[in-house]
Amino acid sequence: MAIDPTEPVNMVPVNYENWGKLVKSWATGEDYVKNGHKYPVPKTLDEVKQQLKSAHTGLTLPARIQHLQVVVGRSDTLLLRLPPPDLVKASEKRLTTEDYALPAFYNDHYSGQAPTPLPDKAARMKFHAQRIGDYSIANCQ
Amino acid sequence: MTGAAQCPFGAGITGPLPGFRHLFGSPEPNERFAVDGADPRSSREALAVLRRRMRGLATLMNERPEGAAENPGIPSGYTYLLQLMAHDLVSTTMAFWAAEGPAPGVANALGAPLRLRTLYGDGPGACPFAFAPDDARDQYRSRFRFSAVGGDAPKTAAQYRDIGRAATPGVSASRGGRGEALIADSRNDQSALLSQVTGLFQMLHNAVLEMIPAPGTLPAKPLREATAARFALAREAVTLVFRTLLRDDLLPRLLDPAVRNAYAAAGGPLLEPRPEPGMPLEATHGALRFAHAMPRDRYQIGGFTDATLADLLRQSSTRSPNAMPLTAKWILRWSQFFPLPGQPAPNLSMRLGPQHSAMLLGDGLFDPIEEGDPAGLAFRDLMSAGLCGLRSVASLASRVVQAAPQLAARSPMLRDRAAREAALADWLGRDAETSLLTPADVAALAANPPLPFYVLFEAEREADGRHLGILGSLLLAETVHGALARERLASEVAGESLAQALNRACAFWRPGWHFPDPPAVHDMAGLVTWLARRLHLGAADPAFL
Repeated sequence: MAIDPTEPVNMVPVNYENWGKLVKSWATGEDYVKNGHKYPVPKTLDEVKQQLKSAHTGLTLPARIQHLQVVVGRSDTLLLRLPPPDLVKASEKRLTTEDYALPAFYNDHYSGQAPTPLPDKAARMKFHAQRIGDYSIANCQ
Repeated sequence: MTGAAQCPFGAGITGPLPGFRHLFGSPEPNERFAVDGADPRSSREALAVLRRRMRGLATLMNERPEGAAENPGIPSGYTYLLQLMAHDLVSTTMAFWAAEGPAPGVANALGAPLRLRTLYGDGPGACPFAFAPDDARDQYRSRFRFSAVGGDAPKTAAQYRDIGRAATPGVSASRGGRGEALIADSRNDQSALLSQVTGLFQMLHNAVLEMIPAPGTLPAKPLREATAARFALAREAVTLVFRTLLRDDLLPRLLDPAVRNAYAAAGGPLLEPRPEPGMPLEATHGALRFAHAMPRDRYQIGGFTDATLADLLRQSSTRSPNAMPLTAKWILRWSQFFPLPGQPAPNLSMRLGPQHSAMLLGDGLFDPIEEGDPAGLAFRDLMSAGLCGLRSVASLASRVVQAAPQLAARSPMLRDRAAREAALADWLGRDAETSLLTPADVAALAANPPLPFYVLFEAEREADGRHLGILGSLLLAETVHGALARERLASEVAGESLAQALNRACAFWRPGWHFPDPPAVHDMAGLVTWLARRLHLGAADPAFL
């Protein structure tokens, strides 16, 4: 299929907690979801889709996702998780006119307060860089 | 110790449930929903089987695919009018899925259904927080409170569009935000959509009240009586409008046409002419749950083109106190929710079927009851239905075939048990990898499906999801038309128009006076158009129409 490099990959779980439990199950081999299903590290996209359903993540994969790459991190190895360059550019383009949207669950931990909108493009680009810097090396801490 | 004694639900929950009843009377044990022939409340083992099967079924129901069909006959505003109506039919003191112990005290606390107690509570005397003082002395309260939409803009009358909200000092989590919805029924602040439909009827009250001459300067006793009469007339008028909208606009969209016509001809209940008092559990905890399949994943609303249902559910004093009152971009433009002439097509509700929006799985919205349970509403609905002793689908089918044979004949699944079970088994068995339902589970659920699931399945299978099927329609119509007929207002006379009823109410409360611009509307488009005219909201910012 033709891939539009400016199309944002709308890969947003509805339930981040369940998605996080699924990732922790894959990472540790322990069952964090505990709903009767098995959650081995998936080997195919079909296995990913099935486990996303079984774990009630509400996360669906966009049609453009056609390959699976699983990288297992090690604490003695610097894992540079580089985002797709087309998506970085697509986000920058979007942030010229739109605010940065954080997942709503952050609000639940900050007194139901929605974040203050970023005032201008410069502030949004700064926050974008900080966020990318964070998730690229955070190692799921 | 017996299994029954070990069951956390004990015998109490099988006893009387004040304010509730069963359709066609209290069912015999073999007429109730059961798991493998046993009441799921009778033992821990039966409860475990119920939980496992409802987990599997809810998992299947939580997976409505993106791109599922919309319902051209039911714009999205009706989803939330229906929710308001449900809140005016029943208020369960404790969810059945949460009730434990031998006598958990589950009851329906809402008496006098469909008289807008969900809006008014017990009036300004008992619910003063919902009403604004009439003057600086605060002797009386007659108008509903509103909050101006958030933001720094100057406050104009058109910006008082959110329900009343107050800060909750001393609650650290809200940090001075508006954590308290100042409305009679806090359930009506469950989403930005429901709170604004609630606000619409509050605006109607205030607009109607404005038309009724204020008492002026009077001695204390006549002032008290005149103020009370003015409020009572406004309340009666709003309640008349609400009931008319249910009868003439909402129900016709939801009911099977044959059922709709039968109830219109009967002018009241068909299945049970003289029922026991209370709300039938088969409606409140069975059929009415179909509304949970109607919400969209995303809405065009105010300043958003793709506000998610999860976003909208977070816009409340409980979930986002510091984001309250609603900001202008969350304020509804009613043409986006009801069909208004000359306006673009509104958001449409989703076709009825046994699948819910995945957005209901959102973090913190409807969390699992126990670890391993699915999040969302489907599991809660199914567990409550399994635990409140509902009459089974098979029992309802057989009763309906006797009580309304011509209507029952229109439903292949009602008249043919084998066909019903085969269709159900086909659906239930389609994705065992996800549901973990065994063939035995599928056979058991097909033979005895939970009523909330069956009503949606029937709507999808026999009405293409455009409206309820025959059984769902009968359960809804019997409950709502029954309540409307039994709980008639003093000014309502069968066969008379809304305009006549409004005149009758005026004659009682203010002899010789009539509304100069009566809200004689018969659909939601008429209501919002009337409000825009009366309240000068035609060019309001945020947009009203």
